[in-house]
Amino acid sequence: MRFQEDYVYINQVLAGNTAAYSMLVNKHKDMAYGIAFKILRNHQDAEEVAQDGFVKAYHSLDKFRGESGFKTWLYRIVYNTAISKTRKKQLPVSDLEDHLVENIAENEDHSEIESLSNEEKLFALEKVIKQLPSQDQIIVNLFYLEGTKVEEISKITSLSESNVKVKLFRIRKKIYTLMEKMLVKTKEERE
Amino acid sequence: MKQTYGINSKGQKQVLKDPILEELMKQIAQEKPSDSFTRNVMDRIPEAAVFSDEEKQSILGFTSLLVALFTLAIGTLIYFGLRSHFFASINLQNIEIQQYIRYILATSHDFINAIREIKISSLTALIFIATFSTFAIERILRKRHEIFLKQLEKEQA
Repeated sequence: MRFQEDYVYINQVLAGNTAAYSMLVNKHKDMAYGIAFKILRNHQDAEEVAQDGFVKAYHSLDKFRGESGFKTWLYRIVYNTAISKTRKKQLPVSDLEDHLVENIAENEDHSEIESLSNEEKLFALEKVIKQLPSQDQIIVNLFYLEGTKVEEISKITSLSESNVKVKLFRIRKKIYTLMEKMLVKTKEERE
Repeated sequence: MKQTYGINSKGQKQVLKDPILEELMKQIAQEKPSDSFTRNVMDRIPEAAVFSDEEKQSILGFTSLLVALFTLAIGTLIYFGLRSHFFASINLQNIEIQQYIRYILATSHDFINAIREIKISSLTALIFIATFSTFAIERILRKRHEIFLKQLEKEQA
């Protein structure tokens, strides 16, 4: 389904057409849910938090000034709500500690990965991404999947723009390094 | 591997864009919300939270008031215009078709005359309009104030 620009639906909602909000929900629900899920690691909690985010955004829609995009504003609400929930439930935020990959040497030669078939690459990448800390998963998804700008990611996650850039650089490095490690391990197991 | 570089605040070259990674990310199955997600969100949204129920009710109330006033005005006109007929004793059994038609025509004629005979000075009209507008504005403002107080109560709760 092709969606129109967010402001079209926002104006309709503000004019009293509540149903137009369902279009905004449909448009952004996947990413909003994805953000919540990456933090909470639980379908039920993620669904609840993402829905809360949409309801909160709706009730504050008349205060939305459009300084940032609607999706940036919405994702920030969902992100903060999910973080609050982890604090309340005392859930762990990340699975993989940074120190595990901190000492990995910078290596821009990924010829081994490039030699893999697309299916193998996808399998490895999916596994690696799931091992990343929640915030890293969100950043990588927003940047590489949604095409969200660094400036917007900074607003969503409350990190400085330079911090987001550094994180993106490290995450990318982390992904390739872990994929290579996985490849070596698989080769060793085969031998 | 084709890469796009960004320059960080320290002037260092940093790889940010990566078309291959972008392409692979798009192919990875992402977590999806349930099919009922949108419906659940919409169920939690009141009919109009931005333009609340109370506001709609106030508009409806105002419309009802206008209809009631209009009906009352028409009723008054009909009563004063046709009161001779209201008090006339009519034996329905004796009314024939021609008489009935004559009666309808006479009634319509009386009604038109009654409207024609209404004379109102511009000052009276002005007073009437001003009174009515003040009443309407006061009612709208009172409703808005009530809505504001209710929202405040909700927020505090």
